[in-house]
Amino acid sequence: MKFKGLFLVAAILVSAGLLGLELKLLVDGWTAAQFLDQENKQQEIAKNHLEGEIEGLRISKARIEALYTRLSDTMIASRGTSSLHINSTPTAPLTGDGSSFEAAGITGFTQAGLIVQPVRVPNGEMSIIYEAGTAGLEFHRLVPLLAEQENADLFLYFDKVLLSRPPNIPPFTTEPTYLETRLTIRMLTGK
Amino acid sequence: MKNLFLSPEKIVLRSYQRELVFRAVGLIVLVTGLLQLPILFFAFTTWQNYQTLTDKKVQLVAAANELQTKLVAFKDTRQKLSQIQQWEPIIRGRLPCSAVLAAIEQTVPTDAVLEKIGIESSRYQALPVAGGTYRVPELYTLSIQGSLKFGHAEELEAFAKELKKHLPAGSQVLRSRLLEGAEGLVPFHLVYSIMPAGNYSTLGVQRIADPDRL
Repeated sequence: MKFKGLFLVAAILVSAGLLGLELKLLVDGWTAAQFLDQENKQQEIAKNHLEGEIEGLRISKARIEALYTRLSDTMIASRGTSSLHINSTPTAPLTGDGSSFEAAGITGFTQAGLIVQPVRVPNGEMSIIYEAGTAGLEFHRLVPLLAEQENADLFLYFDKVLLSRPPNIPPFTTEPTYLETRLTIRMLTGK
Repeated sequence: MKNLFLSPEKIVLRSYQRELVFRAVGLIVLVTGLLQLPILFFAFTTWQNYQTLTDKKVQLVAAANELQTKLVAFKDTRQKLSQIQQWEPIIRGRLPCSAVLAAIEQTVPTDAVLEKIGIESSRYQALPVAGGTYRVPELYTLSIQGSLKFGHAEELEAFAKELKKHLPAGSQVLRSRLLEGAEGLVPFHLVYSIMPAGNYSTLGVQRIADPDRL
């Protein structure tokens, strides 16, 4: 009787053990396949992304390079001396010590007759800052000048623009009105 | 004569055939044996699937390597694009002041005269650029002081609304006030807050990335 009981238990254990082992192997295999499938899907997404990026770069190469050239060309190279010699008639010279340190970006303003004064740049900022002023430009000449400078240098910021009609000019006058103009100009510089 | 003799082998055999325990063991063996069929089937399909996936992985790795090689040819363009992307917030945050002034010129009523226009940036955010940082304003304040001819004071509201239409989206009228005046003129003060959101199409400004139409 004892033998029969042992025999039955042993048969159950062997059978269950065998089936359990087989199931474990099956589950392991299935998990490994799923993991591989997931890896492949990620790899495929990365591949499609890379393909898209390459295609995008290939198609847009000319535009990217043109835009880069346009943007980088407008950046002021350094705060060193400029090779520009401003000598046009309405031009007022730069005042202060910075007269020989004129950056290319400011030429348009000085040529238009604005008096330009460099301002201290906060530490760590890659910029040059100027305060500019004039009382010799009319509104319809000033706006194109500002637009031209903004288009020429895409990193040029007007931190402050202040236009005011001189007190001695009456309202609704038909005479030319030369505005009192004060500008704070900031430009990005390269290394 | 009936043979009553039973050999021990026969007794054991009969015991295996008829006793419940042995029948149960037989059933277990039978079931286990039968279960081997689906197990083998699933094992085979899993192995086949695994092989297919392994082959696919090899192909994908080869394709990725090939693409990486292709990408090397665009290294320069990628760097330039990355630099443009770094500059993008600086360009987006710049309010085209000339376009704002032009918008004022276009919208100012004929019965109004302007005395002062001020555009001032504030709330700066320092963005990293090569070699340091560059401050980008998050807010601009546009202030307009002027006068309307007596009897045309109601035109201020229309002017404020019309100018707001031209300003970038999100611009707000902070102050629109008529002041006490003299000499047949009604002074006014208009103040707007402008968020430089990067889209300045309402000001008539063309996108920088757009090809030049000329």
